Parts: sequence; structure tokens; C-alpha cells
Amino acid sequence: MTTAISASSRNVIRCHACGMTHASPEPDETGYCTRCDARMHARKRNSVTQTWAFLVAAIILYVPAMALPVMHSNSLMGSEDDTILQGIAYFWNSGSWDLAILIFIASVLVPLLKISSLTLLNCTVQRRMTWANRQRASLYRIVEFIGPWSMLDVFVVALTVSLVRFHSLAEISPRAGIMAFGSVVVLTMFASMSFDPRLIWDATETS
Amino acid sequence: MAEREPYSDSGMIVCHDCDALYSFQPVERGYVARCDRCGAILYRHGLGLSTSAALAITGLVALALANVYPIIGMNNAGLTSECTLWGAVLVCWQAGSWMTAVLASVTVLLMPVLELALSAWILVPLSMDRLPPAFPEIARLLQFIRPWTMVHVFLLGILITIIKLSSMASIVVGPGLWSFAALTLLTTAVGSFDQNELWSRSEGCRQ
Repeated sequence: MTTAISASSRNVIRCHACGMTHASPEPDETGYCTRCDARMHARKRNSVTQTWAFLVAAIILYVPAMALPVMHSNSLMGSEDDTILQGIAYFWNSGSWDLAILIFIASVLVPLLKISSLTLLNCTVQRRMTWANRQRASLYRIVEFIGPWSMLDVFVVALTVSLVRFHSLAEISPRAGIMAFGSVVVLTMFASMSFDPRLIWDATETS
Repeated sequence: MAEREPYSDSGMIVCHDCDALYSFQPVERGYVARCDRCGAILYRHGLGLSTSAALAITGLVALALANVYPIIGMNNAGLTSECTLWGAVLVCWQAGSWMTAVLASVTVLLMPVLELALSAWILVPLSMDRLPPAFPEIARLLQFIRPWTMVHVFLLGILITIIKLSSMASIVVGPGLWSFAALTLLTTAVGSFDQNELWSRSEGCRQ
């Protein structure tokens, strides 16, 4: 167990904008960074509350994102609406099981993992739990890293729609489901940005 | 109540993920300094200033090419269609899926352009030991932009679309795809430039 000193216990603030360290006699007061003039905060303001707000919104929108169709195909064979899950099933049944797995991971699994990981992190931070600090810190970094990858399906829909547009054989257009899905990705990114990982370690400091 | 100004100390560094306090020790080229307590990367010694400046400018060229030339072309029974990023955005917008259009154009076009242009704005003068105009504001803006560039995700989206549509028609890969591949590498390289070094270099050339 390493004995690291927390900056806030020594009344030191790090500027979030430029990384400059400042020593301030009143660490909870807002001062301005001497290097880049940004307003400094010891911790992200209202981190737990804001993260909850974004998470709840993301969970609510996840339902229409999965339930509503994301693409509508009009062809000589007829027209059909496809949800994300139906698209995955289509890939799987037509033999492209690698694509099916990839889309499943990026569009279903990753958002779920992000939401549940951030819920776990926010909950344990709110209750000031001192359990598995290093693992929770790593979990947060993983969530931050995989953030953009859920946007994959949005891009695939956009490209597919654009390419098939000028064909007389079929016409594909996007549907409301993809907008809900895009919102979920953006909301989980905001949730991840409003979470302050330093709060994980604060609980250990004060206990 | 008299307000006491914070005073800065550049010999110290604070972990942005867990608030641990360390004294700054430079690392050798190609090395990375990690926080002992939580494992986050504190700072690195990566590509040089002039190298990064050159890569930023190259990145802008790649971005221009990626948008001018078609990414994929589709050929089915003599009917051809091509798609560029901007074309796909417009099609989504006209089809009513405005969020897809906004998300794609912001994360794959606007943010990468801003990141590369602002990086060049900062890196080119700094590599000549001159202070870039409006340096603090631009550096802070860059930090805000970075999480929202998703060119690497878009590249995977292109590949998936190719595989997906190759069963429908013959797919031709255009110069736009290679430009996007190059753009992915270049934005990654430019984005990894160490923030601390950026600021300490700017202090070094202040008149």
C-alpha cells in the first residue's frame, strides 16, 4: 500500500486547464490560475449530482434506442424497419458472425457497461466507500477510453444510408432509433466527464 | 475579508485522477510518468515540438483530402454511387435524422479540424521559440476539444460498412479512405503531445 499524499490535504490545487500546481491557504475558495487564468476548483462542482442526472437520462433513452428502428429499407422485396438488435441478428444469420459480434459489442454491450460502471462508481463515491480504490480508478479510465466507440453504429448508419441513396434497387433511410442511440452515447460521455475520480480517494483520506 | 492570491509552484505535480502530490522529475524520451497510487499517466516525453507541428499541418492536408475524395464507391449493375463524409451528413439531414448529421459532422469534421488547426497554431510558433497569440485560451480550448474527435471510430465504421455492403454490390475503395486512415494516425500523434511541456515551453519564450 503506497502512502501517497493527497494535494488537498496540503492545501494544493491543480489547475484543470493547464496542470499548474498552486498552493492556496483556502483550497475550497476559487482562485484564478496564475499561468492560464482559469478558475480553479479543488473538485468538480456537484460531480455526484450531475453524473446521476446524465446517467438517468442515458438509461431512459437507452430503451427507445434499442426498441425503435434505426433504419428503414425500401426495396423491391418490400419495406422493413430494422432495430439495432434486428441488424445484429441479420448479420449473424447471413453468416457475418464477426460483424454481428462487433456491432453487438459496440452498440449494446459498451453503452450498458459504461452506464453500469459509472453507476457503480458514482454510488460507491456517494457512500464514501473505501473499497477497491485502484480497481475503481482503472475502471474509470476504461470507461473514459471506450467512450467514443459506441458512436460506431451512428457512423455505419450514416454511411450506409448515403451510399444506397442513389440506387433504384433499394432505398435506406435513418429512423428515430439512431437519434436516441446517439443521445445515449453523448449522455454517457457527459456523465463520464462530470464524474470526479479524485472523490474515490477522498473517502480513504477522510476515513 | 482580504483575498489571498494563490501562488504557483512548478516543481510539483498533482495527479489529475487521484490528487496525489509528487515532485516533478523529467522523464527520458519515449517514457511516461505514472501515478504511484492510481496508475494514471501524469506526463510523458513523446514526440518533439517541431515533429508534432509538422504532423499537425500534414493532418490538415489529410483532412482536406479525406473530405474531397470519395471514401467508398458502390457499383451494382452499372449504377454507381459514391460517398464522402459531407455527402453522408447532408443525406442524413435531408432524411430527417438531424442528430446523426450533427453528431457525424461535429465529431469527424469540426472537432478534428479545430484540433489540428489549433494544434498547428500553437506548435508552429512554439517550435520557433515564439509565443503563439492567445495561447492560454487556445490551449484550454484544445483540451476541451480532444475527447470529441472520433476519427478512429469513423474509420472502423467505414470498414464495417464496406463489409456490410459488399454482399449487395461491388465496393470500390476511394482515396478518401486512405486519407482517413492517415488522418487517424496523425490526430493520435498530435493529440498525445504533453500538456505540461506545452506550457513550460510557452513560459520559456515569453518576452
